[in-house]
Amino acid sequence: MSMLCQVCKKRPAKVHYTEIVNQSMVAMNLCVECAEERGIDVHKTGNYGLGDLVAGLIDTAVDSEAERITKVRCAGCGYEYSDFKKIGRLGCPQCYDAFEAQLVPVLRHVHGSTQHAGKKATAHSERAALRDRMAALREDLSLAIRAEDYERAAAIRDEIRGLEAQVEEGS
Amino acid sequence: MSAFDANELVGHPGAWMEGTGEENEIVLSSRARIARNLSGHRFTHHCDNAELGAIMRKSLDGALRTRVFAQSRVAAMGEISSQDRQLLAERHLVSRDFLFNSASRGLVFTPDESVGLMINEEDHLRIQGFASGFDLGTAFRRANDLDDQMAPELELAYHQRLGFLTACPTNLGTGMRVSVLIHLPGLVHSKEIHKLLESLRKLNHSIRGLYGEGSDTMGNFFQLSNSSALGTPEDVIVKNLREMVLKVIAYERRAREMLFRKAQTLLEDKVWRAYGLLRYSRSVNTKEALSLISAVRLGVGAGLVKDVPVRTLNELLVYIQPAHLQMRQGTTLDPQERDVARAAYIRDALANAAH
Repeated sequence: MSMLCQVCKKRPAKVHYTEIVNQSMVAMNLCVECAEERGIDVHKTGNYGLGDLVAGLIDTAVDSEAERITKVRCAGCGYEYSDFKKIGRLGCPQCYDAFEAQLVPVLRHVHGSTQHAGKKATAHSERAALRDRMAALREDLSLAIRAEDYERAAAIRDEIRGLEAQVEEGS
Repeated sequence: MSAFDANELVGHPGAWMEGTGEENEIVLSSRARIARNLSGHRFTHHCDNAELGAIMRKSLDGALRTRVFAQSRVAAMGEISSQDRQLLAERHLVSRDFLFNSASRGLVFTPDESVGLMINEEDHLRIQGFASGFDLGTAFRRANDLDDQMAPELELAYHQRLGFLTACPTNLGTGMRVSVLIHLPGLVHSKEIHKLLESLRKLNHSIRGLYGEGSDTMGNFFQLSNSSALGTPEDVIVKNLREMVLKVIAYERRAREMLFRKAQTLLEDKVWRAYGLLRYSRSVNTKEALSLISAVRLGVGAGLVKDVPVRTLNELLVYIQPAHLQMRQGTTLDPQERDVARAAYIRDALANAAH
């Protein structure tokens, strides 16, 4: 989990610097927006007004904990996480669900976010997405049953029922 | 809809070469690219030919139902000559990847080349909108209109939290990359460019050569784009890049002023020598030509060279490339012959501009 901005407590902290308050040093960790509000030019460097003090300090840390798991396989296309690490491309849209735990730190590193904002799919594509998700869950369900993990199987079954209800509402 | 015709294509400049638009000397063109994939299919690189064919049929079918493509040209990359593929890449209508992987790859574009759709590139669908000069809004609107019109025709791979799903996680979310093709001789000569590149990288923007990923930066031409696509709405991505480019333009202007203040005569000499070489030389390779065109462009920006329109300079960048020269000559040329044909083309273009 990356550090949150200490002012808004919502966005990730990307600007780290030290402020002198009442003659003592205080470490500040702010998001870009809050830093700008405080008059810190995050785009400043050298003669060029870009980055300056701040440029070297922007977060580039990637959690490595999840990267250790590379043996997960996508039910949709048979891709393994290690294939992604080798090729840099995922195998199919379902891979995003299969490798979610491993991808979250990658997304945070690349985009500074793990939550889409902006244009949404049409209802038509939304239903297709739900169908894909259900197909992946059914695979998981049969795996859970085979492994005699009935608690997990029940949870997956409930999730599938929830999605089925959504599909019916939407149609 | 009709089949792509190479002669029609080279007969007129593309929409982005017009030389119109804001800041048209420094910013040559603006582009928006939107990546989409079909639900229920593997990503392109993981598909066999049968699956690529199925994706191609569905995509083409959906694309040709849109109003944007009511008038359009279609090219099956596997069925056209390698010279024609090269021609399309030189006009930025297809990526260089299409030169090497062409089976079951396709291109649809409007006759004015303002909107294009690559099928089975890294993602199943890569929509491109182009505009001349510094006009990211128009480029985005052109790409976005096609996306809006195509979406109801296709089942797209979408995730409630992650947005539009793409083969590479760097494009995830909006699937959008907006970019400008920008001319930065001032920053290159003052050696400030590396500092700028480093800063841009840290601010989630990236900069590459004239023909995109992995290509050299020649003639001081660069592509500047956003590098984050997830978590920020499309209009904000456009606004952020616009602000970034405005800053870069201001640095470029300042660097040019400094250079002219420090070495006015030297720079004027460089500009006019370049003009003289382009106007009279009998053989020139691409790299040298780009560097000379850059110097003349700098001279046009500084008001020294008055009889070369920006449009001519933009067209030169495309028409001096190998496939364009060969189309014009109607025959294949070896590298030495190309250098001669290139010099002749440039002489004609500058002589026409001067009249």
